[in-house]
Order: sequence, then structure tokens, then C-alpha cells
Amino acid sequence: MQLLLQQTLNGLALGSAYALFAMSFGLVYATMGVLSVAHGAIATWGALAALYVTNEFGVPTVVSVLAGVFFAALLSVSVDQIAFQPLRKRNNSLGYIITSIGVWICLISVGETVTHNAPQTFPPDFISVGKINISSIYVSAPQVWLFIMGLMVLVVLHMSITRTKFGASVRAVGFSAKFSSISGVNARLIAIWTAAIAGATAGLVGVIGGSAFDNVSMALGEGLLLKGFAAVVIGGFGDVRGTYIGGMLIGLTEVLGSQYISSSFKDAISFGLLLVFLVFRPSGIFKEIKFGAAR
Amino acid sequence: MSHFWALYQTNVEFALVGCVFALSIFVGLWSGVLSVAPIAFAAVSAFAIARISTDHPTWSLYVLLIIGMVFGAVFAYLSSFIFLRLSSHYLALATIALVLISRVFALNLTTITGGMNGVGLMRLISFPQLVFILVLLGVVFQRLRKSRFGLTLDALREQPEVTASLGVDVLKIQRVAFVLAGSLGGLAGVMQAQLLQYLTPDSFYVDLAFVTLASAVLGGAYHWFGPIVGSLLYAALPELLRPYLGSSRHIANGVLLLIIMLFLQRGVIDPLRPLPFKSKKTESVVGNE
Repeated sequence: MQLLLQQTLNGLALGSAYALFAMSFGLVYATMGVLSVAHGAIATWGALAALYVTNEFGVPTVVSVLAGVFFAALLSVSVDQIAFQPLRKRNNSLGYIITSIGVWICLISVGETVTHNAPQTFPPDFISVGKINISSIYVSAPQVWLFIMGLMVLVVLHMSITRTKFGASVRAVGFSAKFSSISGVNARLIAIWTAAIAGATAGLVGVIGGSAFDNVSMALGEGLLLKGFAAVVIGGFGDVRGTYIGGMLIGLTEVLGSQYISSSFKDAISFGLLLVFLVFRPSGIFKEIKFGAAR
Repeated sequence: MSHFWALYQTNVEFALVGCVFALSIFVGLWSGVLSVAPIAFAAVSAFAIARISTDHPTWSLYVLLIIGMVFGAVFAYLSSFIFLRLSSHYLALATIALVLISRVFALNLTTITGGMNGVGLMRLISFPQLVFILVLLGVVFQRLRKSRFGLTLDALREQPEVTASLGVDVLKIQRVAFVLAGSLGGLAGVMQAQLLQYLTPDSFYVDLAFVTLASAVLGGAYHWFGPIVGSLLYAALPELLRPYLGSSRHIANGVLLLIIMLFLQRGVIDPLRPLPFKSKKTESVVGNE
């Protein structure tokens, strides 16, 4: 029973990491129609920036997390403006995939040089406030923060997308950049802001996740990308709530599956679910909810 | 020259196999289907061949290559019933999912694949044989391009609805192309296995899928020669820049992809682009047919 509780908590933390990443990945997809392969590398680069600031300047944790988040947002905006903006007029969805592969290769090859191809780690007490230790149940501080941040980003994103004028503009651009421009929305500015928010969220999960999994390397971003992709498909591209649940579902099945079924088959469950959803229910669990069109 | 050869033989060999991989993705694109499934079929064939060549060490290379193609084609045919139902976008995502799942199987079917430890095999293929296979494929593709089937594929990629209205069974043609892509994937998988001589679950994973897709589109997905040029360029560029960029030389490929996609969006080889030495009359003929 205790094991089950412990593993459920672990699953929720891992699920939060996937959900956070999936929400940022899905936001880019839903508003700009870009499935960016490079998004995982952006998360890693956020973590690398935070690590650099911590090691070089010894600043407090909050500052280095913010530095990582800011750097990832900046990177995401530059990627959007360099690699995706010129393609917007052409309506060529294959082009987006190829340019994002190009960016992915650049970010990975520079990243591997910077890290000397070896996984780096944050200092052990990088995030120490908030760990839970009741009898034999132990949840590390980064895990707790992953969960809190996951819920926070979910609420903030959902509220701002459904309740604010900015959210309405984002939905309008997602529906059609052309028509939203006609009605006075600056589509390019919205694209920049969306990229910044998505990059910041990816950077956040990169920093906290890198600290939670004790691993900052290109593999961190790749793992997040693949699982986040599965979460987005399972939860549906349309609604951040669905995406969040998708991420949680993947995290929980992965941890519980490897505990009770087989650790080497844990990916089979998430990727199997991914394939089943793509084939039989491509719009995700919550079919009727649509994010592109205004409700 | 012999010095050059000693230094770069491996790179050239992998580049040639990369051409076959890129052609397999190209066949999908030619029929208007964005699919990286051939990479998964390559994994199936490669592991099957590793097992078969251990059990039957006397079998010749050509038998193995044909077995690989058959494996790829059969798996492609069976999975086409699932994949080709999907609309183009979800089809692409589902084939990525297939590649992801193939690694899980490679990890867990330990009796065939060796799991995490991988599996080794003997190399039988020689450099002239690699070149021979590629030349053969070039001939086949040139014939295909000039055939009715090639014309149908051209039409299908440009205007699927119009092609359907002209009485073409779109699903059937796409299935043939999917199976052809699968068999090429199987062939490439066997060739790659021969070069690697050692297969792990990561030998045929999303990295290879993305890189192959990128090099096919980079070279130009509108003529069979494009993917070949793309793969060769893709393999050569980092090596040419090694003295200047060192360990981050692969960044050159990323930058190249960006430049090509932003400025030459149909790729390096584009049959519709006017040739520098030809008169202007030929350029208006669609597809140069």
C-alpha cells in the first residue's frame, strides 16, 4: 500500500513534467500549427542556462530558475522568428517540420559540444524547499515543485486563453491568422508572445525536471519531447485541460506500469496508447472541445 | 587518393545507404504521403537479417537483401490498412509513433534482438555492391518516373482530389507506394545492418527518421535524384567543415536545412526550375515529362 502511494506520487510528479511540456508544445501547435521537433532541445537549453548561471555566479535558486526560463523564452522566440515566420505566408506544413528539424540539429550539436556529451547535474540542494517526508513516503522538493508548477501553469494558461482578450486573440490567430488580422489582431505579435510563453514553460520544466531527474543533457529534452508528444495526442491538441490530463496519464501509467508490469515495457504503454489514439480517436480524449475556434 | 579513401570509406558507405533510406521516404512523399514508417520496417528487416545470417552463415548477400525487402514489403502492406485510413497529418504522426514503438519491441524481444545488448552480424557487402545497388535503384526510379505509375504519383501529390475524379483509385496507388517504400526501407535496413555489423534498439530510431526525412526534402522531393543529392550533401558537409567546426560540425546540416527550406523551398533538385543551359521553352512543361 505504501509502495503504491509512493509510486503514485512519483507518477504524479513525472506526469506533471510531461504535462507542463505538453501544454507548451500543444500551445505552439494549436495556435501556430507548428509541431516543433526542436521544442525538447529548448527545454534542455533552459536547464543548461540555469546550470551555467548557478555554477558561474552562484546566484540563488530563484534567480537561476528565472534565468533558465527567460533564456528558453528568448530562444523560442528567435526560433519562431528565424525558422517559422518566413514560412507563414506559404502554407507549407512540410516546411515547418523540416526547419524545426534543422533547428533541432543546431541546438543539439551545440548543446553536445557545450556539455562535452556527458550529462550534467544541478547541485544536490539546488531546489531544497518543499520536500515531503512523512514516515516512509518521500517526495523530493523538485518533484513537489513540478506538481505545483504544473497546476499553476494549467490554471493560468486555461484562464488566460478562455477569459482574457489576449486569449481571444490567440484563439483567433489559431483559427486563421488572415481573418484575425482583418479584425485588428497583430498576428505576428501574438505568434511572438505565444512562442515566448511556450518557451518559458519548456524552460521551466527543463530546469525543475533536470533537477528532479538529476540529469541535464540532450536526452532530457528528447524524453520530454517524445512523451510530451504522446501526451498532446492523447489529451487532444485543443484544450490545455485535456493536454494536462494526457500528460498525467502518461506519467502515472509509466511509473505504475514499470512498478507492477515490467520496467522495460513502460514505453510500450505510452507509445501504444499514442498509436491507438492516433488511429481511432485522433482528436484526443475530449473530442468536442476545440481550441482553435471561439466558443 | 588512397589516403583519402582510408579516411573516408566508412562515411561514403554510410552516405550511400543514407541515399537508399532517403529514397524510401521519397516514395511516400511522391504519393503525397508523409511517412517515416520505412525506418521502422528497416529495423524489422535488419534484426531479422541479423538473426537469419547467424543461423545460416552460408547464405549469400543477395538472398539476405531480398529477404529484407520482402520483410519490409509485408510489414508495410499489413500496416497500410491501419495507416492509410488516416488523414495526411495524423498519418505522419502515427508513423512517428510506429518508429517509437519499434524501439520498444527491439528492447523487449530479447531472443531475436538481444535487447539492450544488441546483436552482431557478419559483413558480407562490399563497396562495389553498394554502388551497384544504388545504380540499380536509379535505373528503376528513372523507369518509374517515366511510367504511367509515376505520372499517377505526380498527379496524386499535386492534386489528390482531381486525380481521384479522373478515375484513379487513390488508396490503391498509395498502398502500392507505401509497400514500395517499405521494401526499400527493408533493403536499406539490411544494408545499414551490414555496415554497422552491430545493431542496438537505437540503431533505427527517430533521429534517423528525422535526419532521413530532412535529407530527402533538402535534396528535393520532386525528383528521385533529389533525395540522393540531399543525402550525399548531408553526409559530406559536416566532414568538409570538420577542420573549422570540430565537434559541433553537425550544426552545418541544421543551418543548411534552414537555408534551403527558407530560400529554395522545393529543394536542391527541382525538375520545374529552369536549367541554366536550356532554352526557356522547356520550363513551362509540367514535370518535364
